[in-house]
Amino acid sequence: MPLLLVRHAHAHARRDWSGDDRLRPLSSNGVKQAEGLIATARKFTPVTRVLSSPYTRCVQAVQPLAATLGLGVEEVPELEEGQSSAAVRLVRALAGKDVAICTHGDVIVEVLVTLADEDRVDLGPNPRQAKGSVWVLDGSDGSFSSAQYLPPVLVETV
Amino acid sequence: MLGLLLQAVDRANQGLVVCDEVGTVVVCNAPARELMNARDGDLLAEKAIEAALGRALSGAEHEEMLDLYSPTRHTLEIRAFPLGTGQPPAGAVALVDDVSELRRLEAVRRDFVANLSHELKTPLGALSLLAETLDGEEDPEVVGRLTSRLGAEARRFSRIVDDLLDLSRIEAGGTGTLSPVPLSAVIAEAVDGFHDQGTTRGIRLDVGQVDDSILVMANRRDLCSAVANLVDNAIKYSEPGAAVHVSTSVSESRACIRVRDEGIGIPRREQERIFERFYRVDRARSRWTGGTGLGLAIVRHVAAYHGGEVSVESVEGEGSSFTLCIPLGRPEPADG
Repeated sequence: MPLLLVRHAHAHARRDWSGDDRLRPLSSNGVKQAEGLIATARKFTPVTRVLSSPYTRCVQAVQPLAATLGLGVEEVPELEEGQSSAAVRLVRALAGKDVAICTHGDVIVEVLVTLADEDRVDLGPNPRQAKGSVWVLDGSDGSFSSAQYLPPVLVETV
Repeated sequence: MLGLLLQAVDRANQGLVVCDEVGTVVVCNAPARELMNARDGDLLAEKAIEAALGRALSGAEHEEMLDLYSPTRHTLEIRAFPLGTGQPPAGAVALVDDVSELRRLEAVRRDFVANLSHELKTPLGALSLLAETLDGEEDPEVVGRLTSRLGAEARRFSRIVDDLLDLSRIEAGGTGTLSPVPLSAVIAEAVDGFHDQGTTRGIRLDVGQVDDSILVMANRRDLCSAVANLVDNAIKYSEPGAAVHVSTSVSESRACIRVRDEGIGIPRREQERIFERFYRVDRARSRWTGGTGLGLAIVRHVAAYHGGEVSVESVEGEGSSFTLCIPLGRPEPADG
């Protein structure tokens, strides 16, 4: 089963937020991207765990998905901004599991480039990672064989 | 005249078999005789050649590839043509080429191109992902980190390109001619710059004394870069506190440079393959050390065009030892 690596959805700009950056919430577009993630994730796996960086913008990005599945969002420090090898280890440990993982752009780069280097995963000609997008990673036993990019989808909340 | 012609076709690399209109073999040159000389798998070759001649006798040109697995694995290309203008033909000829080496080289080239595309695509993909992550980022700390990652990936890309250019230049036979160069100068130049790097990583670089009178026939720049490559690897694969030893030995006709480390070693089954382009024993480690996967391929080609060779001895957990041997040089006669 593939693992879903989600980049947090669109958040309010840093300059418009006076509080702790970790608590910066999603923008209205980001909220729509988080809703869109539900349908995207359903196409792939019966997600059984949802892990996220503890930052609000990450948790909020997978909250609607987790709620639909009757799951809680597990906040893990390995997925915080600035993490690299710890995040790669965590993702490897979850290879082949039905999980959605939400983290930051810099962490996603580290994970993807490591998989391209070490597992020879093909990222395609112009790899992207827009906010709210998903990388579908196929693998098992700690290593990965393929990766597919899914752009974010905006869904209006009812 | 016919006698001369028959001797001449014996000299060809290609197997040639001619039969008359009823299929009786009338000419079979030396390479074809070797193939037809029925040993195990060659019986298959003989049958295939006979069948090809039979087809040609029915008036049609015939071409096929035959894979043989015994006694060794090889591939034959068999082509047969009718002879004469009448119908049925007055005879037929079969031409047989051993295309195994050609096939092998094609496979090597295909692998190389596939590997190369992947090796270049990875840092490019990283640049693309990093650029998108930077877009709109306002936190100076994050911007700084991403920018430095961009720089690192760009440098990695250019290292691969530099090594590729070096490799293709050296594969084409190197640059310039070989001339007598003092071995001591080669060693000094090659290890220069590594003393600091070694110290930084807590690795002691132990360079043996070299007699200044010993000369090797070399392209100084390429030989220095090959030795430097070996020293660089030795340092990268050593743990802090270990030593890297550079020593030399001289026999009647050759000088050998030995670079020995006390590092993690190389598993026996990998020792042959480490000189292949882009082959890596440990991809994760190579990622951290920033290797291009081309260093040892360059060393091997430098050794080859100097008329020498490079070899490795290694025990896992104890260390590796690379030995680069090349012919000695004689002093150039003084002018006048």
